[in-house]
Amino acid sequence: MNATPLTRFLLGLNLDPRRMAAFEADPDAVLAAADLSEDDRSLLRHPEGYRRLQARLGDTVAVPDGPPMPQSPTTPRAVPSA
Amino acid sequence: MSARPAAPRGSLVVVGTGIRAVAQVTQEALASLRAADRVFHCVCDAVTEAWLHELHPRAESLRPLYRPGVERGLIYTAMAERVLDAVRAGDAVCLAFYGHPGVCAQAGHQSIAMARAEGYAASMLPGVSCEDCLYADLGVDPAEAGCQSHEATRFLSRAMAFDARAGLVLWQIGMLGHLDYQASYRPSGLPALIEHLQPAYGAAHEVLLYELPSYAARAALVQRMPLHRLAQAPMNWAMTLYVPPRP
Repeated sequence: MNATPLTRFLLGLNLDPRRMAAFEADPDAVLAAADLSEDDRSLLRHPEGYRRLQARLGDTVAVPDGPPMPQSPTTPRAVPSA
Repeated sequence: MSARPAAPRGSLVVVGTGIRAVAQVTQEALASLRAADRVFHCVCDAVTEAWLHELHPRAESLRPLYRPGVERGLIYTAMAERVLDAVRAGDAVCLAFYGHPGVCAQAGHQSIAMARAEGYAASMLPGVSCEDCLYADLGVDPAEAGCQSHEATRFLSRAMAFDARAGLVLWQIGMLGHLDYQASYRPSGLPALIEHLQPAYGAAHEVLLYELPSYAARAALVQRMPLHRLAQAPMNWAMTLYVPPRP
């Protein structure tokens, strides 16, 4: 797979902790300045963003059977067990 | 006195790319990727794959060798053969897997064994595995209570003995019951696994499903539940089950 604006954006977040922190604090501000299509921005704003990104990028981990996982928060969060 | 025969020219280094895309590639893995004539890879996210192809113009994915319904062992042998063809052609080859290249990655060990058997230099460099990430994210020190680590399907099929006073890590819980490759897994055997664990831990013992996103977020995805509800939890193959020690 060739690099795309979306993979470059995600790589940039992974390699720059300050940028990742800024994205998690205010995704709209970071996305507004990013070279991304409106579809990609929408995907990254979505509450189930990670699973949708995986599907969009064709990653090996398919959307799991059953309800979607929660959007990852800034600290590990327990899912109610009931 | 006869001269020692020259070692074959090809070589192999097997490296891991970690779980968090590119960010967990070690310096020595990066150096090996850069120095290689050929790069083969089996990674599970597009960010790492695109990065590898930018880094190395001759990078080649081994993922097309996966065929639904084919036993994973046969797929790993096909991967090793593909890599060895390049080594035999005289190339310095770097083979990259996500995570740690020697954990749940039989093709890496197999490639090294085959290369060495044919007289080629071959080695493995450690990478960051999901178990390493789990220790960091869940605050688990395996040196405290001890930790047992098993591939979930083999743990269950062999009815492995375990010690409930130590932590228990079951890899690939979302693929439980499957030794073949599938595009999407639905774990089978969760009730049997619960039955195997419950006498030692009790039905209410809290267990955790753990997954570290490859990108777009820093935090791990963690689901906590009592053991008896494990079969109802949504899963995918990237998840690891952690059973904390019994108090």
